[in-house]
This record gives sequence, C-alpha cells and structure tokens, in this order.
Amino acid sequence: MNMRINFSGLKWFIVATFICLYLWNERNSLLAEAESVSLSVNFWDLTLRGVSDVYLIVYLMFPLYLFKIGYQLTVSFDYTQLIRFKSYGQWIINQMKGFALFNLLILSLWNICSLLVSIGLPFSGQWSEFSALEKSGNEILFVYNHIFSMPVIAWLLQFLLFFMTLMVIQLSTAILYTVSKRKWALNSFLVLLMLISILSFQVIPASFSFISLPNYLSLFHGIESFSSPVTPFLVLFIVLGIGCLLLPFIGRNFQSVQVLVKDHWAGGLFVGMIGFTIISNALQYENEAMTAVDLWILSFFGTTNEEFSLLSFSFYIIAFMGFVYFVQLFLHEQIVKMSYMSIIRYESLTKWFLASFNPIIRKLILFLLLLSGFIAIVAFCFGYPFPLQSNLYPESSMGIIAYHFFVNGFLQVTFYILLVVLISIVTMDVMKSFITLLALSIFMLPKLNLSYLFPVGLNSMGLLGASQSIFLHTSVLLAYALLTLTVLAYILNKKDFSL
Amino acid sequence: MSLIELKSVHKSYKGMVLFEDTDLSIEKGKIYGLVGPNGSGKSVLFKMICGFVFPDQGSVTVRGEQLGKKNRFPQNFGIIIDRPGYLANKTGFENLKYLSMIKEKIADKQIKEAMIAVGLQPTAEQKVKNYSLGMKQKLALAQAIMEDQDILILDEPFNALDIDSTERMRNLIFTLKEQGKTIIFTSHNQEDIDILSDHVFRVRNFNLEHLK
Repeated sequence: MNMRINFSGLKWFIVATFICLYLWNERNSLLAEAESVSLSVNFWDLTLRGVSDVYLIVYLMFPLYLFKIGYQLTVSFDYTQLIRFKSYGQWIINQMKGFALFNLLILSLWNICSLLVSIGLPFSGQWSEFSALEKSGNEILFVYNHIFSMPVIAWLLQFLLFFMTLMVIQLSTAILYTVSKRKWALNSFLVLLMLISILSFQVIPASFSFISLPNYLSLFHGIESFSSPVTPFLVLFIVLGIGCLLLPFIGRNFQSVQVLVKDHWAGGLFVGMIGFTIISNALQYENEAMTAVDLWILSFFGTTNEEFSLLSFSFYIIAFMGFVYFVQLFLHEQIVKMSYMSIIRYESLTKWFLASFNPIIRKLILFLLLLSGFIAIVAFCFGYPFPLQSNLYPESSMGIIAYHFFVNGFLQVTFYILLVVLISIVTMDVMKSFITLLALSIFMLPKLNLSYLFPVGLNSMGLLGASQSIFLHTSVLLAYALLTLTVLAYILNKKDFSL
Repeated sequence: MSLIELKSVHKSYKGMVLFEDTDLSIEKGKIYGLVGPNGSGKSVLFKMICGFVFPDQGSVTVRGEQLGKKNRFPQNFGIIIDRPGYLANKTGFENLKYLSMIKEKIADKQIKEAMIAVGLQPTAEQKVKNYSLGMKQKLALAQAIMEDQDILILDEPFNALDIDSTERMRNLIFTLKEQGKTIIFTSHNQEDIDILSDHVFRVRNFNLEHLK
C-alpha cells in the first residue's frame, strides 16, 4: 500500500514538473514579449495563459484524464462491486463522484503549478497593461481582457469549463461502457476523443465548432469559435442533462429499442450524415454572398474535371451511393428473398423486375425532393436569401439548375441502380455489385472522366459551371441507362435464373 | 396426355452434368416422389419444370405447351424451391398477402384458410424473423396452396417439421390429391416417400430411374 502511495506521489510529482517546466518557458516568453513593448504584466497573465494553453491541454492534461477515465472504469467494472450498487446508474454516479475528486485535485495541481511559476510577478486583482495588447501570440489575454471585467472571472470560468467537460466525457464513457460492456468500445471511444482533440484545432474546419473538443477544454477557444463564453457551457449543460436523464434507463432490457436500433442504425446514420453535411455547408457559407440556390449547388457540388474537393466528393458518395446501398438492401429483401415465389406468380421475369423497380423509382423521386426540401429548410433557418437565382453560376437559370438536379440526378441514380441489379444477377453476389459501383467512382477524380462520357458523377452540381451542356449529360445517362436495361432484359429472359 | 413431360433433356449446371437424355411423364392427380443424393440435380429438375432454367437440349412441356424463351413460366404452379425467404419484419399473413397481391386472385379469407390448413395462426402478430424453421416451412406450403394451384412442386416440404406437423402435412397432401392436384416432391425421409407417393423416381447416372 505504501509503495502504491509513494509511486502515486512520484507520478504526480513528474506531471507537476512537466507543467512547471512548460509554464516556466511560457513565463520567459511572456516577460520577453512584455519587455519588447514596455508594458507591465502581472500574476494573472501567466496563470490564464497556462490554464488556457491548448498545447498543454491537448498533449498533456487531456490524455492524462482520458487514461484515468479508462483505467478507473475498467478496474471498477467488476460484478462483485456492481452488485453492491442497485443499478448501473448508481454505479455510474459513484464513479462520477470519485472522478470529480480526481478532477478537482489535478486541476488544483495544475493551478498550483501556475502559482509557483508566477512567484515574483506582481499580484493584482486587475488586468495588466500587457493583457490589453492586441498582438499575435497574446490572443488569449486580449480576448479575456475584452470580455471579462476581472481576470479572476476568466480564471474561474476556465476552471469550471474544463471541470465540466471532463465530467461530461467521464459520464459519456461510463454510459457507453455499461451499455456495450466491451473494453474495446471504451478504449476506441477514448482514442477517438484523443484524435478529435488533436485534429480539432489543426485540421477540422471552423464549421465543425460543435464537435471541436478544444472549444470545451479552453475557454479562449470556445469564445473564439462560438463568439460567446456562454455557448460551450450551454452545450455541456445539455449533454450533461441528457446523460443524467439516461442514467435510470441503463441496464434495463430494451429489446424493442435494441431491435429498432439494429434495424435502423444504418438509415439513421445515412440521414444524420446528410443532415450534418448540409448544415455544416450552411454554416460555412453563411456570411458569404450566397443564395439558397447556391447552398443547393454547393451541397451537391460533387466533382468536375476542373474542380475537386475531398469533402464534396465524400458527400456525393454518401448521399447518392448511400441511397443505392439502401436500394440494394430493399432489392435483397423484396426481390431476392421471395424471387421464386414471386416470379412464378408474375409468369414473366420482365414483369417481375418492373413491378419491383416501380417502388424504387418512386423512392428515388421522393429522395431527390426530400434533399432539395431539406436544403430549402436549412437555407431558410440560416437566413439565406431566396431570389431563385445563383450567385455562383449567374448564367444558369433556375430551370436549368432544377433540371440538372432532378432529371440528371434521377437518370444518374437510376443508372447506378440498374448497374447494381445487373451485376447482382450476373455474379449472384449483392456485395460485389456495390463494390463495383464504388470502384467506378474513381472516374469522378479530376481529368479521368474524359468529355464526361462515362456515366459516373454526371449529376454533380459543379457541372453547371463546366463547358459542356448539361443536356449532353442527360444524353449520356439516358444512353447508358437504356443500354444497361437492354442487357438486363436479355439476361433475365434468355439465361437461367437461379439465386 | 401427360400433364408435364420432359423429352430427351440434357442439362449441365455450373459446369456439372446433371441430366443426359432424360425423359419424364407426370400425370394429373397423382403424387410423385423424387429421391436422390445431395447435388444430384433434384432442385435443378424442379427449376426446369417451373421455367427458371432452360434445358441444354430436349424439351419441357406443361399442359401441352412447350416451355421456352417466349413461353417461359407455366401457369398456376405452387412451388417451394430452395429455402424460401420472406419479408422478415412482416407477419406470416402479411407475407402471404404480399404474394397474393401479384395475381389478385384471392381474398384474405383464402389466405387465412391456407394458413390454418398448414397449422399457422393467421391473426398472430409474430414477425417472420421470429419464426422457427418449421413455421417458415409451413408458411412456404401455405403460399404454395393458397391460390388453389393445381400443380405443386415441393422441394423438401417436410424439412424441419416436428412429428405432429409432418403428420398434418401428409394428411394435407392427401387431401390435395383428392381434390385433383398433381404433386411432385422431394424428401430425404424414405417414410414420406413411401407413404405419400404413387410413383417414385430416383436421380441416378444423370437420368431418372422409375422405382415405383
């Protein structure tokens, strides 16, 4: 026991040393910066920079907390302990209490380190002269100085924000672990959080503010991203509230809910990803001179031989190939499973195929209408103007834009579906058809679809700005769809049918 | 005149020779049992009779009309071929309703009667995904008879049935025969073959051997 205590003490001594060394370096640069502009600094300048420093947070403090969360949950998730709590919810609350203490201690250690390193700097309850300086490298103090009347308020809010964020993460992880009861799920979640925290302020665009972890770990980043110190707290309160509301239900036998989730998770993910991407686009272009029609174009921009962006390409694949994936599931359910029993009643493979294809066509039309309807709602909510014209492609009339989205979109997705059906019937392997389709999407990469004669990605809204007429794309798509239909009809009627 | 007739049929399937110069004559109102080892071609023979696969040579004639690319599927066949799949999230009744809507020949009453005849409860809310194998097999038989089909092609209709259900199905098949239906079935259970069949054929040496 003594060994454990000693080791534990040594471990935190090492952590404290790291923090002190980092902050000492921070102190030296602060003093140098202040000296270069002949402005006075005080104790709060170093303390606030130290507790809001995203590098210190992301590369040292946050991983430390994540490790603690993972370790504590796995070690205490033991049936001999669990049985003493009346429910998983009670166990989670107990874990939260233990973690809150750890959280307070480490935050205190961190602040004590700041205090130690600040010794020798003048103590004051007010902002220093240097904190009011708008200068590169002094953003943290400048922002705090302009928002909070006293530095102690900024310090308290940063303390509270960090504390709450870690409590929310601990609660979410505990819920995930008790629901999944899988260590790999817990570890994967923690690694994912770690990656998000690193990527958030370096790679992830500003439009993804709500999932950017540094916005909840550093008050400065939260204010910068949300333009308000209230928003990160509000988000945390909402998540914490949802987590607490879920606690009484954890561990109950929700077979019907499980079945619902199992049956619809892919559909939910599909809809969620589409919604998320469109809303992100709306946020991204909110302050630019864009109309609702432009948001429509940009959301389904796809790719052209001249313009390529990974995000547009990915969203095209998610939206349209995703739809084809669900059609494939529908085909498997409606056609393949009951094929012999259905065909013998239709007494014709063509009639059987057309009867099965009709609902797909209806669903495709509905899908295109829903996509454009959703865009209109999002555009309205984010205050985009509705002049029924595009600022992006002013030479394209509204009729042409709608024609391209609906007619070429319909033909393009119809071709994808026919191709999937054809390959499924030829290979008798549903997955092969979908993999082939994904492989064909390589022709959406720049310069690969020569003269746009290959029927992939021809409903990309970016093609409105290309030199070719969109009616050429219609002709190409129509020709390929008819060709595929002819081959399909031949195979259905002239070859053996066996699944 | 034979109801179903195969003349000089040759068939290779997935690179394997199954039938060579095979003849078969099926008469109306009788029960035919078909036996043979796994992979011998029983299912392919059924698919040929139903029009799903074509003979490489020879002909398949049903009610005097030769099946071919222009006249592919025979009318009024009730079939169980391979392991039937269903709409998993629908009840048994809803599955049968879906199939009955293709021809729109029958009302809900006939669907319910077919379900009762095979020992299923038409009003049960149980989804097919929660059915046992035996219940799925009963549902398959129900769809094969619900539209008063006069020729029944049944591949392993007794598969996964318990003793009582097997007995019930045997009685049902006898009743259907009395109604003038023609039934061709396969089974790996010799007792089913012996009890039910008027004629028994065995697939052997790429041909059909008349045993009974």
